Amino acid sequence: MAAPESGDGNNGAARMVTLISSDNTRFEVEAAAASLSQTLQLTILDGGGGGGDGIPLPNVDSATLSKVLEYCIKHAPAAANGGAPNATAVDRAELERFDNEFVNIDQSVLYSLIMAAHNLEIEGLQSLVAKKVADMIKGKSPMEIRRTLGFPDPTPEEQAEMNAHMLEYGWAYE
Amino acid sequence: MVSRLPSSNGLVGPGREQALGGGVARAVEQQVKPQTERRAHGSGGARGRREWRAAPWTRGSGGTVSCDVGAAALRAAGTRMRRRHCNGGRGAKTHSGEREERRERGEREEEERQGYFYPENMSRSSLMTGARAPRSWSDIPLDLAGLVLRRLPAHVDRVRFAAVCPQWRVAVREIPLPPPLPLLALPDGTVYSLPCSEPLRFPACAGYADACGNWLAFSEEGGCFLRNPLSNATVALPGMFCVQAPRRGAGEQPIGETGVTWTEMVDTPEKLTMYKLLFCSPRLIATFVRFQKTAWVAVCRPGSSWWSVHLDHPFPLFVDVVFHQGKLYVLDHLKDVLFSIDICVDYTTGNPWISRVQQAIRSVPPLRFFHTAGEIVITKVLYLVESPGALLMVHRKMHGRLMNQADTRTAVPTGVNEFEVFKADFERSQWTKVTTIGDDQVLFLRRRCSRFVSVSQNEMPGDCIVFFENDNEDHDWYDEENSYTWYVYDMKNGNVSTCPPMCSWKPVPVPATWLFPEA
Repeated sequence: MAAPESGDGNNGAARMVTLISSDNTRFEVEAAAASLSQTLQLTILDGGGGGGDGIPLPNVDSATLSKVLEYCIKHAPAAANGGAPNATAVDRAELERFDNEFVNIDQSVLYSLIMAAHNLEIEGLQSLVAKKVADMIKGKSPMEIRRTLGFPDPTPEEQAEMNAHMLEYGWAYE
Repeated sequence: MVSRLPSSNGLVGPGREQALGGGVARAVEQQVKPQTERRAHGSGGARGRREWRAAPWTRGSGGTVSCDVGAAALRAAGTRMRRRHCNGGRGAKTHSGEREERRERGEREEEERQGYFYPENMSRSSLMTGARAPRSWSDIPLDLAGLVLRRLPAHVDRVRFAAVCPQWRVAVREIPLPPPLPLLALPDGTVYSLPCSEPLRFPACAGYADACGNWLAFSEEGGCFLRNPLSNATVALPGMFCVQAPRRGAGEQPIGETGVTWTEMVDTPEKLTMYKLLFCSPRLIATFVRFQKTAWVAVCRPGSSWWSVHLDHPFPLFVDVVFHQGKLYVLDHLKDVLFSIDICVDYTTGNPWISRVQQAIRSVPPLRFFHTAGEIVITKVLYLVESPGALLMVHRKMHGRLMNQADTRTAVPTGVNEFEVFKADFERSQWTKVTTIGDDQVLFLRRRCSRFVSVSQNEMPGDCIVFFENDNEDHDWYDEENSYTWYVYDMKNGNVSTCPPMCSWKPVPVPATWLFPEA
């Protein structure tokens, strides 16, 4: 877990960077993990985020950032191996197990996660959450999808539009 | 070898119409709805990801501008921005501080012109650090919606996705997607949207008499019509007894200064049966008709009142017909020959007619195969399948168990099936065996409406042939005691397996069929 820590960033070979969430919580992580974010990677390559500076992330709250970094830390070693072509089957299975458990969370957290992953350009995390959302949608009626993803109850007009759309494509409304 | 076999859509797109003979190319107007350009599978995500702005529908919603947090971080940290990937987005340029400032100024003016909402008390810099994104799934950016949609291979799931809210409807319309998997349709109006398992009601296809790609044929008094149940478009066909042939003398072409001279057939058949309708283009429909104890190829223009037949060349033992690169190809058992048929258009009436029938490929050894061993009977069923790159012939050896030793025509499929695929080599006038149809291709096979569909590995395995246990209404292999289903044949190892949705149906006079929704 990437809890805010006060350890010094120069311990060993790993370079550390500090990220600051919208509610001003500081997270110190290895540069390699933060670099899963393509936008952060550019800053880090330029030498940003080290020392006392920290990189502010005003659109990501601490709960979401903590979750994002949990993902990054887990995936950083595989990413460092260039998408892990050399990874053993055990490693891959472990990552898959982690991923499955990682997205087994409430839709509102999934929403915060995918938006953060989008803003930070973390491709793997975007795909992972998108896959989870697709799995939650599959086989469900439009109304069930709305309920699953926490949409408000449709107005009569919205309901009529949903029915009309299904009929337009030849499907009886469910 | 067939390296790639893009899906053929049964209908003819503008590109393929041009392959018709010169006369036809002019006469056949291109009334096909222009297909939206499809980008390569998977490129859409990369293209959209660099957009600085959120999706168009987030403008003004939530009272703030959705702002890229990464950019904010970069600027706040006082670092010079370097964007490595130039994908055409506005953030794609490499720029010095001055250029960036100018760009930002211009961008803000542009955004204000477009109605972006800037709170009065929020300076540009506070926007860069304090913007909040809208908080609802309905407002996710287009490219994220695309990531979800690309993981929905079932047609029905995409339609339901679009029904959820107006923003998602826009997403389905705007995002280039690979085609969904086909629908498995039964004549009673039940449909399975692969790979979903539950049966769905699809009233538009109930009661079809025949299928040709997405066009289902329905009989009505005095004739029949075609309907595409996915678009609800309909096409009228000529009356069943309206047959005419171009009049010609020995060795003459029946065309003169004033176009084709037509002869209405006076001894019109008492019973005219249609086999295998082909919707070749918006100006050309082809079929086999059976009368005078043999079968003929007939062509017509949708909406025309006449079928045009070519009386010089009957196909008594026709097997299959396909439209490929502007010509019709007919496989006939009589001499095991593949014939090519040229079609022209009569300028005065706009009606198509068959101008030439030629032998294209002679099959060696002969194609016929019927073998009995004890109570097992093996029949070879042949299919012609079109893809833009190649014309294929699929041999299917179907094993059946005899119901009655004395009657070798009545058998029940045992489920054992073997397949061989051959590619037409017109230059050498021969069939060349192929061992793969492509790792990202699935051939959905059915007599009279087979089609290739490209798949990604996580939807269903590629290099496979999907087939119905029994799709042959001419044969007596229908037994009311049995239910039938569909299987997947793996070209790599020859295994036959089942695949979701698990479904079976009682034999009906018309076999189940595939419908192929566009992306």
